Amino acid sequence: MNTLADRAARWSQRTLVTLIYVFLWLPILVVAVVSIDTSTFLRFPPQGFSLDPYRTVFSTPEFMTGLVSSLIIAAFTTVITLAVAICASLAFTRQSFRGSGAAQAFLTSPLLVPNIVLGLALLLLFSPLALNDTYTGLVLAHVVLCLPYAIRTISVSLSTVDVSGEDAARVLGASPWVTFRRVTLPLIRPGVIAGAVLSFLVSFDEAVVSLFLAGYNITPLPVTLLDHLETQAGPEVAALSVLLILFSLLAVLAVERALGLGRSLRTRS
Amino acid sequence: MRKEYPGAQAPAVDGVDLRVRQGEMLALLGPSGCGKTTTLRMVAGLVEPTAGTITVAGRDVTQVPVHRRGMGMVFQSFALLPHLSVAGNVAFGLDMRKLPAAEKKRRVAEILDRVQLGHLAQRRIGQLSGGQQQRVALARALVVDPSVLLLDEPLSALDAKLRESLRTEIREMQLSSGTTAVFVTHDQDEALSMADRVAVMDAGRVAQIGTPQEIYENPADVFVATFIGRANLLDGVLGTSGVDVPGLGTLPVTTSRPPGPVTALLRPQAVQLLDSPSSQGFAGNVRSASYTGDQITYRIDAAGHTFEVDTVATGAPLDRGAAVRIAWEPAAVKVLPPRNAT
Repeated sequence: MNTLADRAARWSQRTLVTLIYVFLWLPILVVAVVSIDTSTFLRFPPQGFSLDPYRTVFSTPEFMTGLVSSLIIAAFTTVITLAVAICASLAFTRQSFRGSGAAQAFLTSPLLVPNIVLGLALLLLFSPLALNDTYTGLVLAHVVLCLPYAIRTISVSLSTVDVSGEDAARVLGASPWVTFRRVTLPLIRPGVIAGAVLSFLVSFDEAVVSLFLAGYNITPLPVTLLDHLETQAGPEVAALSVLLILFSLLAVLAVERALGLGRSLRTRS
Repeated sequence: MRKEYPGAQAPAVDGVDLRVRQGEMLALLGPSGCGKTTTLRMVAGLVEPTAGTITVAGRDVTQVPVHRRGMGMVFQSFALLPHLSVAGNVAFGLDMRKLPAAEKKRRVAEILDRVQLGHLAQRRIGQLSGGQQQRVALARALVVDPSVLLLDEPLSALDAKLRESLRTEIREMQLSSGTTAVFVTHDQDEALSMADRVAVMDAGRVAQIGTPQEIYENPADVFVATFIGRANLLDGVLGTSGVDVPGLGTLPVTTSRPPGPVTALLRPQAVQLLDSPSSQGFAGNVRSASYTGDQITYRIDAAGHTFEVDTVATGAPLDRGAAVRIAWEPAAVKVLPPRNAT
């Protein structure tokens, strides 16, 4: 039965959900609109239409070097994070050892510490080690930030995999390494890919910690953006932001298409 | 082939010492938590024994890692690899042995034909029924010509009908390949019908080992007697002329046990129901009857005891309360250690 009350309830629900999404997306929409303005500073509403801000993005050398730095950092961060996260997750889900809970809490604690505190702490720690403003230092810092995400997705995948499959492979003659490569890894692939995408995006977006640790030699893109905002806050900043949003969106969509990111993030045993 | 664990001292398994003969199928039978699966996993190398040794064909393999033992194992959950096809699963062990592609292909095809799954070689595991998955697991374990085939509750994930047909199938595969096999189960029918010898386990120890017939007819103690089949147990005292059971008088028995408190065992099918009025045996009354088509099992109160009695069904069961007489051959009474003295 489609009574009037039912229909009213359904429509008010839809309206509410729509409004929530509009509220969430509005700032991004504003940025998108501003990014095609003709002015030389940020303003809203825009008073012209031009794609010049996008041209400016690609003709500003700091943006391009920033992009390259960020890509290099994100790539190394992702590889190292995955290697550490897979080992840690295997230990947490397959072994029971003293201090397992403490180690798990320790590795996921960066989520709880404000990034500004973490940035300052790393700056103080890295200064005597001459790691400030180096790729090594930035990658190390980003690995710390990304580990909680990767460990989470990979552990969840691992806990859904039946251990007896690994036992069967071992009895059939597979060494521990071969068992991992031919049985465990293929089965936790969704979690590993989800962890890789999250790590890459977290590292690529990271501004606060990078702000403490970078400056002269290496300037990741988000830091470049902040520097740029201080001196000339033109619509090219908005244009770059739009490009970054599109990049993140495409990465998530590609993975979602390939194996369902939503599913691999949510799966539980 | 010899296999020994003098005193694997893990709390789960305590002093188990078993020898499996070449080509034999040995069943480890016991209630859950008796250590049978732990024992099997120690043989496979998946669990490290705290003490003791495992010997296969005269070679001590205790320190050999699991992947170099060359055994085959079938798991309760089948443990098939969902990312591989049926053929991929079966070929896994051959891949590990680095067999040439042609020979690998031939052996996979051959074993899949033997388990009647040749037509499903390219299927994904998820597309198979439980019985088919069980056969893939068996084929995967046998295709490598294992030194020992280990089966961990291979049938308990399947429904009753399938279980019975697969029992025969597994047994025939094992006999025709001549593989030595150790088989873990909590199902006494499975153990009795499939194994050459049965080791009954209780609380980490082997309570008795023998052929199914030996174990059924001459159980070592009350635990084995009640775990395998049904039993009428009568507590009494063994004297020079027989077992003195309160209410029944002295039952003549043949035993080598020393005099003292004992428990007498009487299997339900050894008790006869006397139809003609006579002075033989003991008088009693039918307490209940359960009719199963070919057989009727009565519970009969007689002389202060309740007896379970199996009879061949020849008509309608006797009414509740009906007066009957029961009797048995003296040789049918087995004398066991007293039930509380373990």
